[in-house]
Amino acid sequence: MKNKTTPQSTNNRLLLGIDLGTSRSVVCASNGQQAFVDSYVGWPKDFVARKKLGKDVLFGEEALRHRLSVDLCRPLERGVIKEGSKDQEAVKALIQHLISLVNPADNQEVFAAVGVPAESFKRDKIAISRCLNGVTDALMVVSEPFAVAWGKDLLDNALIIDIGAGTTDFCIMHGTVPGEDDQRTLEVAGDFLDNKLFEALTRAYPKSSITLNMARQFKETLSFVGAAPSPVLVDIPVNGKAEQHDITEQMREACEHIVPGLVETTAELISRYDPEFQDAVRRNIVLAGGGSQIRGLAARIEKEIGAYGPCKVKVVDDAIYTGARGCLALAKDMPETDWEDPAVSGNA
Amino acid sequence: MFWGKKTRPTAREAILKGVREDNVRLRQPGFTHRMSTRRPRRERWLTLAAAILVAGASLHHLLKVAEGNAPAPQAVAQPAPSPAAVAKIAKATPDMVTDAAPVTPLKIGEAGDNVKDLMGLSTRTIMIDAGHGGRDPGAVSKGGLREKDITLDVAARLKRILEQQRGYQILMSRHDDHFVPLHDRAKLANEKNVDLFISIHVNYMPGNAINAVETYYFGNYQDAATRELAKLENRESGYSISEFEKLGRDMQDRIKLQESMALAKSIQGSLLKNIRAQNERVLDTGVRPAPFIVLYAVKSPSILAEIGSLSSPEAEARLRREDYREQIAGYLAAGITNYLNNQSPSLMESKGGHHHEKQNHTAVHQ
Repeated sequence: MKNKTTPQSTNNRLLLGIDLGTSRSVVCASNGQQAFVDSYVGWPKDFVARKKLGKDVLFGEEALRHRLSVDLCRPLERGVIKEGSKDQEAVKALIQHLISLVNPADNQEVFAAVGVPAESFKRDKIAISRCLNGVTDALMVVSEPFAVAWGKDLLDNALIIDIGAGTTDFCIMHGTVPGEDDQRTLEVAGDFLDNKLFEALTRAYPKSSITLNMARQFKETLSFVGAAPSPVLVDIPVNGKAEQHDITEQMREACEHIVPGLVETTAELISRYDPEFQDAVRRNIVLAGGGSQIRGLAARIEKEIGAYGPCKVKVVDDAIYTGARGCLALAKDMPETDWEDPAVSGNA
Repeated sequence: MFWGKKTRPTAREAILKGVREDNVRLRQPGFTHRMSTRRPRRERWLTLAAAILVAGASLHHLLKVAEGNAPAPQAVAQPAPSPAAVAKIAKATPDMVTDAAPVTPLKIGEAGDNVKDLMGLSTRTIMIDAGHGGRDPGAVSKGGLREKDITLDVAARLKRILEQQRGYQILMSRHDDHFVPLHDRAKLANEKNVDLFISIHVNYMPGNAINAVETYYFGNYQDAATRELAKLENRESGYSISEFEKLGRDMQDRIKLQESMALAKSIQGSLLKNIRAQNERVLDTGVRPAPFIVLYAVKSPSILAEIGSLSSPEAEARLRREDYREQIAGYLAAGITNYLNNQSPSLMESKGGHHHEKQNHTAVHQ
């Protein structure tokens, strides 16, 4: 991106909120545009692949589709950037691609607030910040659950639980910037449940042709904990022919894995909170991320945590865009002088 | 200026300022992650002081023991309960919630459902493992109550209850307060060809005053807390690397996995339901897989039950009571019994006739 020595008029400034997730990365822009892409980056393996694909780099579904022809990378797997430059390069490429999706005008300054998984924020925020240097005209890095809290104006006596693909992140808000002790990360999240469901289906139906991707799709549409809202019936090929399978028990078994850690971590975070305000936090728990859509999960947490007092768990309306919208809200609310700090704008 | 000279920033403004400062710090040359996670100096000094105090107290106790003047341990009473307590529990038994939701064994495919049922396999010998012991006290509450004493007491009570109610052979991994390596516990269980292995522990969750129960079966950990718990419990396992590798080769055991999960669910369900029925607050931290080496090494279906948390003052106070430990043993027995009753549904016509029929079945096998 352009290296400005003097800040331009705010009229020529595009503010972005970017949610950099293990499975999916999302962008919301101040020009009203928004987009998302699966968090895959692929570089053609050789000149033959390069010629066939016609691109230097592929993203998302396209990269996955051509995975045999590309060096495929999924940065932020398990919620952290793996050691080495490839992940950092992938993060940089992904952000650039996301920016292109919202059509910034020529000569328009791009100021971005980027939300990353809480664990990645703890361990890799320096690496993320440095690898994104120059990609935008100014950059702020925040933890994703905090961005959700900001976007929903849940800044005090609130607990955000962001259930993503790689990690489940917790952030308890007490009216200040959350510190590391206010945040937790569990590795039981969407990908874990996908694997558990895949294993359970393979055990139950050894003759059926089940893939991990199929398990993921079943989970994304039909997941539940506790009592089944209805039988979970899906079509799975058996010897090339689609047959209906009842996977209710396997789905329950897989999804239930998320409950114990969720309940324990929630209880632990609340127990460390100021006792005078624990009731308030218990009444102000918000589930975000793709995993928030697991049917019955909010009610289950209410029931378990309710043993300690009245509990209310809400689910965000839009699991895909909530994080990025929170980052955009942060970008908009950030004072101009703060954006123009040389250390933030990269003009130091 | 963003803020008026005489206006205090609002909470939102203060948070935004914090975000900016955090990001500015990131860009400073030489800033490292260690700097951002370094604990405040005061907290480091307090930690050091606490460590010195603990070391000093331990040394003092060791010296006292050497001199033969060890203070009387915060003793849990000998396993034999008072007749009054037994009578009280016996009276309470009819009210005990034993109808925990039936546990449906995992369906494993078209060829059949439960392998154990398919093969007509029965349970005859149960080993109860009292966690820790001897030089390994396990968790210790702030009031000095030791996990090893609780587990031994509850294990002995559970043994007695199971022997009274069922016609099974009940073994224990230890009968007194001495250290038994995990390796030896598993070896004993395997040599005796036990059919079920129940390991009893009491949890401790630092900084958490909540009482919680959880039950584990062998599997990979799901969170950092379980990983750390497994590391603690696996200390001084007694296994060498080559022995462990051999265990890995023997581990493809579908019966063990599904039965361990079923047993864990039944025990957890019984503990939770019955403790809550007594109007006690307890958190359900669930049935979980964890890489506990003792569960890995024992060939039979095996579980590890954390029957409470010593970090909870309320739980500690209850666990000091004989009658409460007797109740816990009863809940464990109910969970085991419910699991056993649901093992072979094809053998059971009705609940009324089931006990008699099961005994006959057992007698035939004996």
